Amino acid sequence: MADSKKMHPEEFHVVVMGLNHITASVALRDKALFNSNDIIKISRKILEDNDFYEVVVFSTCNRSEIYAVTSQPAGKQRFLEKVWGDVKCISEDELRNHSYYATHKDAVTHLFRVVSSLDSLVVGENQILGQVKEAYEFACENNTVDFYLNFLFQAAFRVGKRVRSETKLNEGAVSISYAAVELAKKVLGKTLQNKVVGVVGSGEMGELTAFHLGKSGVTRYAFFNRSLNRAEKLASRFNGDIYSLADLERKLYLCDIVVSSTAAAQTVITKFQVEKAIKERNGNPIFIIDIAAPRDVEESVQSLRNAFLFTIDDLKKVVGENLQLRQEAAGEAMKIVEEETGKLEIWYHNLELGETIRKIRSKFQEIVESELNRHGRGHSENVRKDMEKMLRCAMGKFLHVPISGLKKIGERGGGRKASQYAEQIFRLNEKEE
Amino acid sequence: MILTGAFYTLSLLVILGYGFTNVFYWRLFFSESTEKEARSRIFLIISLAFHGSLLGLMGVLNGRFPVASPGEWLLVCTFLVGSAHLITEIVFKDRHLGLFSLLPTGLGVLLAVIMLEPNAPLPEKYRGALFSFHIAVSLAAFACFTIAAIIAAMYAMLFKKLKNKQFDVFFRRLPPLEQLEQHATVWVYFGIFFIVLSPIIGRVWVSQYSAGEGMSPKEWGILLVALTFLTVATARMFFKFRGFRFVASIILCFILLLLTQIFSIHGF
Repeated sequence: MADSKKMHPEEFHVVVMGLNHITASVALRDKALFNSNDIIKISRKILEDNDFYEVVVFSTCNRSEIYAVTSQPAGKQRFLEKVWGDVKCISEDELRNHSYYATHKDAVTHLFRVVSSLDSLVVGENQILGQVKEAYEFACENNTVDFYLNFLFQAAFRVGKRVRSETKLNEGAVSISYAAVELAKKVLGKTLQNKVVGVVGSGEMGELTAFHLGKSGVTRYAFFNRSLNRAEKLASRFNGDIYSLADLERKLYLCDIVVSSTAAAQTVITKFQVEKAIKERNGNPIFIIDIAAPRDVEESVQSLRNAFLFTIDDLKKVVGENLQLRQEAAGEAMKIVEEETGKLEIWYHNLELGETIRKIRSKFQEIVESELNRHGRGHSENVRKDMEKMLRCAMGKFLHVPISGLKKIGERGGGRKASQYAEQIFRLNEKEE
Repeated sequence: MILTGAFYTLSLLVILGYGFTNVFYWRLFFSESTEKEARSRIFLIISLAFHGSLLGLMGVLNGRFPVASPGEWLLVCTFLVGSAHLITEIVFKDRHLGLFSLLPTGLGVLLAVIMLEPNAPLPEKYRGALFSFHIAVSLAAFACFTIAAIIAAMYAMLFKKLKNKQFDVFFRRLPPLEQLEQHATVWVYFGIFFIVLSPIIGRVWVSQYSAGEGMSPKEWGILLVALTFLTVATARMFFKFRGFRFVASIILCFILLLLTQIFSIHGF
């Protein structure tokens, strides 16, 4: 890998090439997916090209992307397509038709959108930041990142954190099973520890909901099923008790949360059963989720004061409203992305200027020291100190205006020209006599 | 002169402080951005600091605890409600309650400041520490029941939302039912402690000054409220009197408490 830190800032460009759920089909995304061996192979091939200096490659369920630093952004799309195509046995044309390629500011904005999960299939999902972090760490371990991508990815992680802490983009459940957990928490408290979940039936949805409830702290389960074999499997997975459906009336009072998803043609849980259970629970509320079609729980259960009954339609409604809210929060998140892209641009423009400003200060420092040596001889130590103080103070004041002027030009994007002029004006490349 | 000037300045700052605090808590509740969340609590703390300073200044100005007029009681009581809210949001880590508890607090402060007189007179026998303590404890009980009733009302609101399946902003922002019930219960227990303590202190004060002419209608009313709250709390603790019935009882008890304040007047 070339030492990109020594490159002139205007000679390096960040580029991104990738495909995602918008541009490519599931089949192509699967085909293009990078495993860790592919990442090592493709990174090595890219860095063998003299125009590339740094690279980070990653894949998630819905995207595969290559971020690289190059001196020739315009001509390199073909090269990346070829390398990717060779490693994954995909034709270059197919990649070209279903991928995107962005350079400079667009590439930076793209990365910031990705880590903020603005570009995800489910906007606001939480996994993407961790996945990009893992990819970056893998690239660091393989020594394929240096100064620029290091700075870019650290900035991206900051953006991801800001979006998560300053907006409500990742709030609210966006899947049916999570919506059930969210509703249960609204009734039974933020933590579901010590709550008992009764799973009625052995439907996949019920199992998934039980799993998500487990992730929210539930450790006690009771499985009610016609077939005890299937219930045994679930009970061993979740470490719960097994009951037959006939036990439901007798044991329903044990459950704080009931998830029902049987394939029964008629109702399985009646108002009478729930009323009896509430009495036996000393009035403590019971939370019931009916995700079966046709319904497992009598609708009249909802009229019981301490029974909270929600159906699949209610859960869909929660998910729909949360998705809409995330779309609204996406606007706030995009503002953060734009703000941070702007900051990164300023950093980029000021990179070279920083070096020039250091040179100017060091040059004036040398002048101060040489003048002190020349005129300070024969004076007492105190006088020398005063002279030095005065000269340094004067130097600071003389340099304040040109340096702040240079910084302002840098912020407007004229960093390179400003550096060139400053080098000529202050003769930074000449040795002081 | 300077102290009187400071009194008016602080009064204005308290009103402005609560005004801004309410705006921030409003935004916190309804906005989809979390950027300004921290500011809401900072403004509340600043408002409480102004509020506390105003009470302190009134103590210095009048040489007594501010209990001479309904305006002064209201000012003390709203300070306690605001502080109770701050404790609630710190302990239970939820700032969304502020919209409901700080709006009545802010309005109460506004009303109190309008009713305030900088040099309200108070007979000598009401200037003692014991009497002041009696009033302060009574007001603390009132503040605890106020915050408990506000939280109970929020429980009732969320309960209705869940029953009617309205998944709106109130559903999203309000804490879970179980947590709201816990909050309300804690404040009811504190309120009962203060409301029991208050007449005991009052009795000691009466015996010291021989000021009593028997129980006033207000005292009888407060005793009744204390007993009602005690019954509700005991029923919750020992007879599983929970959920909607419990919070509805808190609201009814609080209404009863308000009625005792309106329909009866204390001796002085």
